[in-house]
Amino acid sequence: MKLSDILMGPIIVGIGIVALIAASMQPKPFFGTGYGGGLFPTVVGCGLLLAGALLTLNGWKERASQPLVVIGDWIRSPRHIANAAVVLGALLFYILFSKSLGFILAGFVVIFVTLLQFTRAPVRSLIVAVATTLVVKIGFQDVLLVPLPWGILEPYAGVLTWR
Amino acid sequence: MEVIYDAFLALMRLDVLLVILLASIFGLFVGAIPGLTATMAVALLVPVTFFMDPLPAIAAIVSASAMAIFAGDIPSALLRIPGTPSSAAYTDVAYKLTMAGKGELVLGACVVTSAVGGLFGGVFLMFFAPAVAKFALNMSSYEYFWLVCLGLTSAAFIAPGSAIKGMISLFLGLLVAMVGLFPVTGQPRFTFGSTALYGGVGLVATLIGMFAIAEILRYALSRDPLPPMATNKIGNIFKGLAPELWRYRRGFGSGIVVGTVTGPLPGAGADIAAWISYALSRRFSINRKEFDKGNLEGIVAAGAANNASVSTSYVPATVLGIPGDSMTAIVIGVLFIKGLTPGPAIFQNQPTLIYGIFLSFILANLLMIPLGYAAIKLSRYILDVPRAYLMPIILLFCVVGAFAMDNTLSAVVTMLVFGVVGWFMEENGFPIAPALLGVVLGRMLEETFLTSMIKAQGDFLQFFSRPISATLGVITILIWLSPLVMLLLKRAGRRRAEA
Repeated sequence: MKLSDILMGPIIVGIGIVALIAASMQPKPFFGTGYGGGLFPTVVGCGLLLAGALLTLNGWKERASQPLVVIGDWIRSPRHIANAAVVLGALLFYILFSKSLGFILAGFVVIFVTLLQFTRAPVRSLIVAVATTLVVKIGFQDVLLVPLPWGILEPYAGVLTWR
Repeated sequence: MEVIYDAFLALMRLDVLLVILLASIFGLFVGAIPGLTATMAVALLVPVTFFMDPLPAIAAIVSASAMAIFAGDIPSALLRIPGTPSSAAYTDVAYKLTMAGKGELVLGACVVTSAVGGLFGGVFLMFFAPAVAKFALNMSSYEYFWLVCLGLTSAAFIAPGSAIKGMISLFLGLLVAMVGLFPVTGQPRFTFGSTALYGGVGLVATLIGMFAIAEILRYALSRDPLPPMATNKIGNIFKGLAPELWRYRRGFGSGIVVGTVTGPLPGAGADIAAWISYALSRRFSINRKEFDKGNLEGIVAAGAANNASVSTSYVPATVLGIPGDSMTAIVIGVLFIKGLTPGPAIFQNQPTLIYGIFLSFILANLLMIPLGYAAIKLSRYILDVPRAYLMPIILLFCVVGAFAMDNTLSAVVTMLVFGVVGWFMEENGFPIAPALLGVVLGRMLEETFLTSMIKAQGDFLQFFSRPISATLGVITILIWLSPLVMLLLKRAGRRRAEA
């Protein structure tokens, strides 16, 4: 999804303004050099403001030849839109439910759903998803001792730990 | 010399060697698969290296990156798709030669020039870096401030695409670096009231998002399947290679030199080294006509250059703590996570470690010949691995990798956000490297500035009071002004043309 400079420029200017406002809310220094936490964000905000303005100017000059928004071929393919939606949805699902469901279940859902969407082969997806979840679980949780959440499987944690 | 011997012994431990071997195989695999870049290989490796000692951790990154840069040549020659951006310069020629039945020769040349280029770069690194370090010991916060400025501006200006977008990318990265506690007073800044952001935005989660999640999204939305392989039979890749390499020895040599020199430059990564070297070898070709028709000369030059630059890009990263490209930016991040501060003092404090890192370049590039040979032989199977299965597997590793760094779910959120941002930026022609450098160096930029200002009691002219610092400052400001000067020159030229 490519926005033309004439749309992108104002977005950058907007980010710059937000940075400037946020910087101005930083507490003023009362000792030392007189430079506080707001100084660098102010410089960066000004930079964004300037660069965004230049980009807008560019876009204005080329407004005849630059379409406002160019979207890739995928916009006409429901399958590809679903692909991206599944990737993002799976990550959101993990963020929301990994604590309650635990890694084994939530992680399995993440990989199984994306595999199914990408390959459309349920049996193979299931095998690969189970195998990968197991490898990651053993590798990270049992060997590297990363405290992946147990969630509802907590009562079985002892049985499920390989050591 | 004794230090080098100690470092050699540290590197020769069985577990370290095993790590290097596994990381090499991983790098070859990731580099060879189109759509998975060398930077992605390194980003995915970081969460695993987190649990290792510093030497095997960095050695793993070194070997994976060197191998991935070489392995990018394999799909270039066989599918006409560069496996990593640094192979793009000679993809067309390589494919053309493969179609003409010279696939073995091309792949043989790629593996040998990559290894030799990397070796030369590694040796250069070993002897040049300590010299730079000795010099750098005399540098104060003024010089560091300008060096960081210089590195960041060059990164923004050299990046592919428009300079304005490079600058915007850099500023956005710097803005992200501002999140966290303000170093001087310890007050929270841009944390939106979330304590999870007090330590700043997690670097590794950002990396994984920008380089892996963004890539997975791009794959999810891409509609073109991989083309069929140019050839299925790969015979002896070393047959008849030596005379060919001898014929193009000048291009080979210049490729090594160009790569070695480009590596330490801020903002110039392996891909730029390959492009410059390819263009130069065409310019000074022994037979321009044959070069344009397609021969090994450009491949030899650029293939050596990209690997040489991977080695020497560690000079500014380890000696000054200022990375020049995304890959060394990750290495700096890893060193910090390990509680080591890269900088000239590292040669005194951690000599075994630093020489071990340098030696690992030599080891990795020596390993490249047998492992590269195996990868080329197995390329049919590697390129056959369906990406539809690979991408979801990588997705799960990303989730766990981001989580593993500080064991919080907020890292997964960060990864998701930066994945979408990275994808959007790439779609709109914003280079990613300046943003990453901004994230990594933003803190250092601010701290060196504030320390200098406190030392100078607020007198900005002190930034120009020392010879090196003044020179660096002037160069930086000249680069800042260069677009303006160019614009004025263009205007003047146009006016003269009109008159």
